[in-house]
Amino acid sequence: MDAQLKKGALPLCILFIIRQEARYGYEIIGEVRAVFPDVYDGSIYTVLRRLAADGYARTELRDEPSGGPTRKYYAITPEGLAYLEQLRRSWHEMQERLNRLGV
Amino acid sequence: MKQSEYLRRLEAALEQRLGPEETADVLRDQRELIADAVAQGQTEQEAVARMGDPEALAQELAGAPRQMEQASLGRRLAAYALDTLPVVLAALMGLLLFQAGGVTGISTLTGGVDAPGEDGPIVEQKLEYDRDGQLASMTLTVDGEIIFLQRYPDRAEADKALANRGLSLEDIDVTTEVRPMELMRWDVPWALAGLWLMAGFLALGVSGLFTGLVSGLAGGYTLGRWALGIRVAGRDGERPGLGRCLLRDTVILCVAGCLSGGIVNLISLCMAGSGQGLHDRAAGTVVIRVPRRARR
Repeated sequence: MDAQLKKGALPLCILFIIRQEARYGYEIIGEVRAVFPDVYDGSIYTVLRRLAADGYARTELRDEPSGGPTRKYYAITPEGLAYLEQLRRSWHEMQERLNRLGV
Repeated sequence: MKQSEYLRRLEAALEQRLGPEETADVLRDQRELIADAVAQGQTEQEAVARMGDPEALAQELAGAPRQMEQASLGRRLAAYALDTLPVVLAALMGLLLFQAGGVTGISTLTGGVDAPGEDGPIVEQKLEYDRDGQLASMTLTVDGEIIFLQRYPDRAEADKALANRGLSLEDIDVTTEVRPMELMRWDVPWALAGLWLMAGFLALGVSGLFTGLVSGLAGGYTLGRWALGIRVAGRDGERPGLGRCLLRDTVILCVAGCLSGGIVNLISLCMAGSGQGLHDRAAGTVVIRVPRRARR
């Protein structure tokens, strides 16, 4: 699949995955990889990090119960929810337009 | 690749692009992700391979090149002056020493004249002049043998000595004139200017070596650049490394310095009617023509 298209879709996927509850890095990467198996974990991590830096997600370090590892959880922010809606609309509009063209 | 090597390379690549806090945070995240992958049954190698290339990841994380403010010309020149000042001072000292010793010393200027003399003996005349420009002594040699030597000579007697050998003034192959060095009035400034220029170019080269080494080891800083708050960086703001610094400062400046010094000298040579370049003026030498048979 075209790398540019995939890159463009990653923020939408990630925000969608965390829209309801906070998830930790490997969980998110695992879900994205289930759909895009040929994307590097590092690339997904980069997008995740950028979403946090742009304020669409907030991060929190949590110690897992019973002496488990410390993990960074990513939760969506109100800005992130608005951005997710915007991305979804853009995506549907894109689909519609391409359908109209008969692609 | 093992996790340790991956993290080490990632850290090195990140340090050039991100701040220390962000670098530490990324490394923490990466450890967590690899540990989780391993916990899910992947090998360490697999987990690292799926991360991708550490340098590429660092580049992705850094995103667009950091906004860099280019240093102003004033700062660059000031830093350059600070860095070259010691060398320039040393050159200046040499110049003063030269001036003190060079003007009072008496040197000789030699000039050569060649005349046809393919056959027969080599006839040489040596003319020494005094400070008033009078011919103080004349020596005539035929194949190295002195046939005439006189102080404040009588020309007619010299002609007679030549005639005894069946020769005339026409047969003189080489003339050497020796006079007390009279740097003409405009010669002193020329020599000084030449020395000054060459000292300057030398300073360029020497300080180039110095700044190349220092900035290579200190991540683009020299003392002068540090004081002025500027540094040399790669296009993405990364540390330039020893090789690039040596190439930039030492090789280029040295070569440019030597070349431009040579060009200045060449120009001075072309401008000087007597054939004395800056280096000749400074050393009191001249390049003379030597006939084929007189070459040793």
